[in-house]
Amino acid sequence: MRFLSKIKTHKTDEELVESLGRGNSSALDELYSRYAQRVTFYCTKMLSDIHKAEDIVHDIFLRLIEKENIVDANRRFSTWIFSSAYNACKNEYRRRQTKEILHEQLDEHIVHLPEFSLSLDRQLFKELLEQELDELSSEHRTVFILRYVEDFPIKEIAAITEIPEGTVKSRLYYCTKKLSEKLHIFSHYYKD
Amino acid sequence: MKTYITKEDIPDLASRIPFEQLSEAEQEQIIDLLGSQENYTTMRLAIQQTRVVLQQEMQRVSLPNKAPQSLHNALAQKKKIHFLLQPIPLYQVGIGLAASIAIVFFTISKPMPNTTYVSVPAPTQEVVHVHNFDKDSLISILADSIRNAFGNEKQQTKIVRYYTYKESPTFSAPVITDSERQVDGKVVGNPYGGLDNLPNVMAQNKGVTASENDAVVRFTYREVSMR
Repeated sequence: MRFLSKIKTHKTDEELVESLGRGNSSALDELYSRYAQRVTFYCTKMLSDIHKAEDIVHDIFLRLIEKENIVDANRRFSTWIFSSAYNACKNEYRRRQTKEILHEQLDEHIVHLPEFSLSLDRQLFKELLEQELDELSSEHRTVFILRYVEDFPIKEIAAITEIPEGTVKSRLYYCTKKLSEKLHIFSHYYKD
Repeated sequence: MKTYITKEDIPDLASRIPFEQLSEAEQEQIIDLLGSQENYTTMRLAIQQTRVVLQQEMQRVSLPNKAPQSLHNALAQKKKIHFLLQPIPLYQVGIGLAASIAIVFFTISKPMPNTTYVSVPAPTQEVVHVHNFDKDSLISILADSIRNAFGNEKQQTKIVRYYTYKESPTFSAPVITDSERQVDGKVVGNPYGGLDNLPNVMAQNKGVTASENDAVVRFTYREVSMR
């Protein structure tokens, strides 16, 4: 019985959105715990600004609360929320016009946490990876993060970014090849 | 059946399958596309390590498990009424309510077919004026009226002539044409236009009586005025 009740309480994202539409605050908490961190991280990577990323996430959830039927019934909630984040980041890029790299802000929140200790190799790898990711265009970085951090399938990435699947695959190949060329010096540290 | 691999397929393959586990045909194609097995392995490691590093980094983004209070406040402010488990916004409820009231007003409560309007009469005061004139007094009044009302010598002459005729034994009513009754270009409704109350008398179309011997003329008229 306990097992059954556990299954019953694990609602899908779409069920939670429906429940949120009826004013259920626990549905809001559940959706927030599932997505806030992921979307914040995605936006941080896209904008190199964790404060802006947090603002974007807050605005997305606010729109989810305030607007009726904002999530298309035919789309997955994950697609909707990352699509919203992607568009918000694009708007932010337009607003800025010139990209600003603010490593310090991200490091302030992440690297200086006491439990976050990396080996030197990994630290170097991370720094080089950060640098290479920053050098990618926002379009390439988006597909890269959505594929390898969020594990979205190609089809869903295409839906989020509103580009053809072939373009997603092409961008992924470009990013991966570029990164592997830059990061190949670390390959001997990580055994397959 | 031989699988055809494009270079765009390689990242997906590399992220999932080590080079050794690929079929010979796939290995050949990948070497053709990437140049060497090492390049495939490097790409696979890069993907794996990038994934690990980024996911660890994501875990360091510290956010509360629950939504912040500002979002809960926004949710609380958005009050809704539910109908058949479906949320209905408050403004839609308002529109529905207004429409229902309109339907009740225009459909159910039909207007009365024979509407009787009842007016309460204002308090009035009725005064009956009766004026008796003999020939002398009438001529005297008319003479005053003529003097007051007419500046026109011609009209004055006609009216005086009328009473001159009336006083004579061979009295016959003179015919006074419209042109003769004009004062300042307007036709006077009666020859005795100078009397103040004569329009009121004439409007009632009654009240002018005469005794048989024409010695006395009585003007009777009714005046109704608000108190």
